[in-house]
Formats: sequence, structure tokens, C-alpha cells
Amino acid sequence: MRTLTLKAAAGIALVAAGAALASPPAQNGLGAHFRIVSTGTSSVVEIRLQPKAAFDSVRVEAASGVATLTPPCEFAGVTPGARYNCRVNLSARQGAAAMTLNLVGERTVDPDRPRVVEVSHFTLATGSAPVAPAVRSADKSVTRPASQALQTPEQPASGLIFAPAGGTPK
Amino acid sequence: MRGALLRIVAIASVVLAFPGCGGGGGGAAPAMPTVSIAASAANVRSGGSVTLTWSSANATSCTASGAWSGTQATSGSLTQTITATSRYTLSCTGAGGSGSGTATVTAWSAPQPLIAADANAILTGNSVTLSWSSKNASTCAGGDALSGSLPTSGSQSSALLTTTTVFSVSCGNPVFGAVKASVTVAVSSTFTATFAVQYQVPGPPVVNAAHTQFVPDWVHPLAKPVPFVWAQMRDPGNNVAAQGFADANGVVSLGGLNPSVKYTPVILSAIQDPALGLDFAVLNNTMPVDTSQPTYRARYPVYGVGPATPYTPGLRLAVQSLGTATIPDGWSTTSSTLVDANRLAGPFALLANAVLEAQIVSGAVGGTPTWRPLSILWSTKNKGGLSAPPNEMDQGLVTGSGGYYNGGHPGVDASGNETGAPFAEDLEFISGDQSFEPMDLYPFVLTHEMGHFTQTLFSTRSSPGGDHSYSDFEDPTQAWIEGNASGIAALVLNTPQQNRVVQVSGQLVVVIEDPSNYTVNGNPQSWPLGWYQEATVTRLMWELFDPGGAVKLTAPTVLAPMYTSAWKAGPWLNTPWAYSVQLAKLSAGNATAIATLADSLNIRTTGDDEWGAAETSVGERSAQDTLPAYTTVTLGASAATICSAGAPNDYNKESNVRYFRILGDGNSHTVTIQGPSGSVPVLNRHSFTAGSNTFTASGPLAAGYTALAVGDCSVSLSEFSTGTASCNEPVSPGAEQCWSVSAQ
Repeated sequence: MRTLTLKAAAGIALVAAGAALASPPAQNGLGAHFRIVSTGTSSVVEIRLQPKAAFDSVRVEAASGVATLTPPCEFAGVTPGARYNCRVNLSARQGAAAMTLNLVGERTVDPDRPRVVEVSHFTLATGSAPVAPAVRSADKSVTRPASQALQTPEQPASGLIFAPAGGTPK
Repeated sequence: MRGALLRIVAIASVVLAFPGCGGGGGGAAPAMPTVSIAASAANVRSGGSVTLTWSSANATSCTASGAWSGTQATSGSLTQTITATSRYTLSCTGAGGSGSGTATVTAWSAPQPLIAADANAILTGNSVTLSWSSKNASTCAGGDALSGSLPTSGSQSSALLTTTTVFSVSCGNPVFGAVKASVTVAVSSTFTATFAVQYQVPGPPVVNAAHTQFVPDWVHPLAKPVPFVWAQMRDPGNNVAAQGFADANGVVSLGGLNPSVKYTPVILSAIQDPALGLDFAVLNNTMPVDTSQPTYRARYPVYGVGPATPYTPGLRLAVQSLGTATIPDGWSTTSSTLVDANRLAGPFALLANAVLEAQIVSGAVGGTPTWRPLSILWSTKNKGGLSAPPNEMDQGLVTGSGGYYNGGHPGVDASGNETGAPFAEDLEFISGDQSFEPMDLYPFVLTHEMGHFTQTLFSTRSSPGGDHSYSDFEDPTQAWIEGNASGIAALVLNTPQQNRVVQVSGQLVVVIEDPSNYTVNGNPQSWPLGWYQEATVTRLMWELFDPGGAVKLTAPTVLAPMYTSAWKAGPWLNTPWAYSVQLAKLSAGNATAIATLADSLNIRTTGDDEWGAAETSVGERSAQDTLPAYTTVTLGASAATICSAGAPNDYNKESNVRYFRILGDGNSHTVTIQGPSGSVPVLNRHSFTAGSNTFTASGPLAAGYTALAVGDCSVSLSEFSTGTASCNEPVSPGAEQCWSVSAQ
């Protein structure tokens, strides 16, 4: 798309609709919306649903970073167009940078097939995660390859499996 | 020739036989026949000829056998072609009995000596065992470092070698001269380590025991090569002794190594393909090495993985195969869980699929496309779902679905948040959190985001971006960009099925979405079908390509419209209409089939143009809020009315913005957008005057059409309320807003 050279009255250079973050498709048959009611030692999140499809059950599950989630939030026989609300209290695991809630909807369409599953996520940063001090690692390279800017880890993770084990000297 | 015949006497024999009579008679017994036969040469080249000459005495008839046959005269000559060693026998009979003679001619081909060493490259001070053999040889002799007369096959050990040494054997036969074969044994004080690198991933999804879900097939993992991967050999002091990149099959070869040192092979999550100029790296954004750096490659390290124990070199070979190095997926068969600390394969799975996509897209783009470096951010902590920016990169926390591509990013501040000045750095963020979506287990998300990367590099990417789903009615540029990215993924992966991994009740399950038939886990879905839904675009691309379908276009043909100069010049935007119409033009022989297919998917193509002027499908909006796809605003004419619709922060849904076009003349003009009281119009989702229902912009309009977009600021500026807050919109927008747009 060509760039429009018009100038806005406010003096802003205009460009045509540009590209923003491009992500993979997410499911939204649940029509889920999350709202942070309060944050602190215990955070409160409101979950609102206006489903576009029917679900046999919809429930909120604690995902990474969540220590406790109360009370349980679950809906059965969810129908399109209806509205569903609930609030949950969350506390974070120690050191967790964020808490994630998974809203899981399931629907059996054909008993002979696996269920339709839809998961909507909501992540609440805790702001309390420890940040490890970072120090530029010493450059151990003899001659760096063309990826000049790449940083290498000080120590590799262990777990590479050789077959034959360890290599067989000949 | 005759002289030669006389001089060369072949092997001949005379055999006398007595008649089988019962005893002596009264008269003189008839003389017994004698036979003499000779060949003009005892040895000839295969395919050559010899002359057989024979004579007999006391014979009345002769019969040939062996390499010849039939009745022969009692004397005579005959020329024979020799293709194999031949034995010619002539048996003659007379009154006195019978006799026979034989001549043998040996056929020779060129000698074929072979010589090999049990190692072609050894370390100084070792010996090799040499083995040789030959065909068509009667004699052999050693040469170079191998001396003396040798049998036509055999073996012997060399002396201890200190320099690169050549060993030869020369073999001959009576007809051909000697032929020499050699083997060179390289001798060095250092060795080269070779190994193949592969990563492990679960097999295609299978139905669980309860028949309720698809799950990754951990029982039958796949191992695939990591092409062009970066590898090092590190000494006990963690110094890099040698490094380089694997070949296209993931085979590493690193030389100059000291055989007395134990080395740790290290595989690093970066690739370089010299042929295509690829420079891709997967970075661990949750382990910054320098928090003063705002850019990814300077801030975050690549991943490295090595074996538990270092490699102890052998002391004989100068090229040592370490075998195949497999990077494990982290599945514990003991606990039946995916152990984050052991999920080492993730970065390499991402790299391998990125290379695959780059190779296929390069072929479709043609020529020598230039690839920019790409940084892929992945960790087992990465996840999306933040309600608003900024992204907390050091913690792996981002907004949205947890996977995205962008050509740049705000600088990362000292605490890890993206709040700084922007940097141009092509990136993909990929979620790895098991309870969010471990996007490294199956390649759909990576290949989808790679599709966006290739759009940016080689095509166009005009789209609002942001969150989107198959349940939405979408902006046409959004539907195209996202559906096309998934379409590219389908062509690369050779399947329209999209495997997405989520966690349900603590278990990892796979959701198989299939735009080609609008199903999830095989169950039909009521997703919108038309130009306003990305799944339709993916379906169109797949059905055009589908090897089992009706149209069967090649992948380069399906992708071709994206890379033409006409596409990139526009001025129509990248939309489903522009694609189908362009494809029909480029594939004239299939134009009817393409248009029929697109029409059936509610992407009007028959009789349409790249502007979608003939489109009739309105999606979920009213005709007034939807069509025409582009309203024409005429210079100097009265204002055109253009209506948009949507809820606050919808951002990228159908009708959130409406497109219009102005036929410019190269002169300066003013575009005015007047909205109803309380509204704030925004041009191109970008420019607005806060709190005002009027927006004007002025400047030169290039000759030809220019495409623009108008919408309500709080609806289409941002998908985040924190973004649309800057609109200062006095009144919450209604379901529909109509704008008066003029150009003077």
C-alpha cells in the first residue's frame, strides 16, 4: 500500500494502515472477556462470557503462576448469545512473574469423535518476579561465525543424546 | 598376419584313440586319426579375434565342440571372435578310430586393480591396513609406499606413518599394460569430529484412551535433522576449540581438534544457510546476558545443548564419527509428563521448520531473494494473555495469543519491559509455557508466523494485526494476511490441519483445526465463510493446491500473485479479492476453476476486480456498513458518506474501518473527514485529532488511486483500551458511525 504524503492538521505524517503484531488465530467461540478487579496479595479477576457457540461445560482453570484460585468458576450447558459472569480470587506462586487463567470450554458434537475444546487465556503480571542479574558472558569463541551479534550461553544444557552413546572412537 | 600366425602357436594337443574292436585281424589295421589344432594367439583382448587352424590325418570327418560346434572339414581354418576365455576342441573320426585336439584362447579385459586402506585419515604415528584386489590381472606389483611383487589380491600393514602417504598397486595381464590404483592416507596431528544433529518431537496426534481428546503421540516420537545448525567443540575450560554450521542434512564436521583433549560437543540454536543467506536464531529471552541492551540479539543468548559427558577422542583416526546427536523433547516416560528442564528440542524444532519454510518460499519468490536475519524468542516460560502492553520480555510475558511476528519492537529497558525507542529487528515470539500453549511441539504457529515474515520481505503486509479468531468476521486485509500466513503454512507442511496444544485439567491435548473443511477435531464448525474470515482464505489456498482436489496448482503457482510487481504496487490493498483476481489472471488456463472456487467461498471473483467492486456478500454487517469494499471519493466533488461499525477496541473486525480511494493527480489536496457529534474519526487506524469529530490532512496525492481507511477512533485505533484512551472520544460510539469524506 502506497504511503500517503498528506500531512495531518496536527502535523502528523500519515501512513497507510500499517502492519502490527501478527499472531496466529486464537479461539473465541467462548466470547470471553477478562477484567482485573483488583490486584495485590490476592487479585480478583472477573470473567465474562458471551459465547458464539454452545458448550457442554466451561470452567476456569489455574495455569502457570497461580497458587490458589477460589472459588471454582464453572458453567454447564452454555448457550450462544447468553451471558455468564464470575469472579475469582487468585494468589501467585512465590517468585512467579505472572498468573495465568485458562477458560476451558468443551463440547461433544459427535460421540465418536474427540470433543471440541476451546481455551482462552488471561495473564496477570505480578510485578514481583526476581530478575536475575545479567552479566555479559565472556566471549569464548575462537573465530565467531557470521552471526556476529549472537550471544552464546556460558554453559550448555546437558541432555544431548549420542548414538552410539558418546560416540565410538575408532 | 600370416607370419604372426606361424609364430604364435597356441596350446594344442593331440589325443589318439583306438577303435573299439575286439582283437587283431588278419590284415593291416587302418591308421588312427590324428588331429592338430592351433589358435593364432593364446591371449587376446576381449572382443578380439583369433584364427583357428587345424589339420588331421586318417580322418574322414571332424566335429567341433567346446567354444565351437558343428561339423568341420578335416582341415581348415576359421576366425573366431573371443569374448571370454574359450576352449576349442576338434574330434575327428576315420576308419582307424578317432582322435581329437584342443586349442585354448584366453580373453583379457583391462586390469582393474583396487586398493583401500582401513582408514583414509589417521593421526600421526599410526599404521593402516591396506587391502587390494584385482580383476583381469595376472600380475601385480606395489608402487609408491607399497613395494615389491604382490599377489593379485591380499593385504598388509603399513609402517607407522608420520606424513600423508600414497599407496599404489599396479596390475597387468599378457594383453594389457599395467594399470595403477592408489589410495592416499592423510596423516595429521589433529582430528575432525563429525556427527549428525537431529531433534525429537512427538508423533502426529492420536486419540487418547478415553476417546475424548487428541494427544501428542509421545510413544512414537519423530527425529528430524536440524539443517545448517551451529555447532561447537568446547574444551574442558569451556573454550571454543572449533565451530561451524552443519550442512543441509544436519551433519556437522569440525576440524583441528587435539586428540589428547576431551571435548564437549555443543549444539547452538542458530542456523546459517549459505545458499539462501539464512541467518535465523532462537533466543532465550528469559535469560538475558546483558540487561543494558535494548535489542534482542545483544540482550539474549541462543540456547546450547551438549551431552552429559565429554567426548574422549580416539588416538588413531583423524576423522572421528561421534554418531547421531539427538536433542530430546523432554517427555518423561516415567512420570508421563513433559519436563520443562528437559525440553531441549524446542528451539531446534523451530529452526528446522523455519528453514523448511524459507526454502519453499524462496522457490516461489524466484531469483535470489534476500532474507533478513530473524530472531525467534522462545522459552518454556513464554506466554501471552497480558491484558495490555508493555510486554515483559525478560519474563516471557506478552499480550495476545503468545505467538507473533513483527519487523521491529520497542527497546527493552533494564527491567525487561518493552518501553524504549523502537528497533528494526525481525522477530517471532513463540510461547512455550505448557499451561498456555507450547508452540514448539507442532510447527503450525511457527510456520504461520514465518508466513508473516515472508509477507514482509517479499510481498505486502497491510493489516491491522492483533488478536483474531476463526469465529470472527474480520477486516478484509486482516482476513487476507492471516489466512494467507496459514495458507503458506499449509503448503509448507503439506496439510491444512493446524495442531494447537493446550492444557486441559493438567493434561496436554491437541486441538486439530482444519480450515479446509471447517472442523475442529473432525467436528463441523459454523465459522464465517467469506472474504471476512481468514479460514476462508486458507481454505481457498489449500483447495487450489490440494493434490487430491480439483484444481491442483503447484505451491509456487498458488503463491505467485503475492510476489508480482502488480501486487506490490497496488494501489489496491492485499485482500482476498485482489488475490483471487490476480491468480485468475496469472493462471489463465485455470481462471474459470479459480473463480468458481472463490465464488463458492463468498470471495467474489467472477466479473470482479482487485478492488472487490462486484462483491455482494455482506457478512454480519449491513450492506451500508460493508460494501462497496472501496468507496470512491472524487477530488473536488461533494463529500461521500462512508459508514463503519463496531464496538470499542474491536480494532480489526469487519467494518471497523471502511476503505476508500481517491484518484490523485500529483497535486496537493486536503482530505476532510467529518463525523457525527461526539465521535472521533481516525484515518488509517493511525491519525486523528483527539476529542474532535473532524479530521483533516493535506499534502500531495500521487497520480493514480490511493487507498485509505476511515473509522471510529475508539473502535479501530487499538485493540487495547489503554490505546484508545488517547482518542478522548466524548461519546461512546454507537453500533454504526457514518463519515462525510471529501477531498479538495
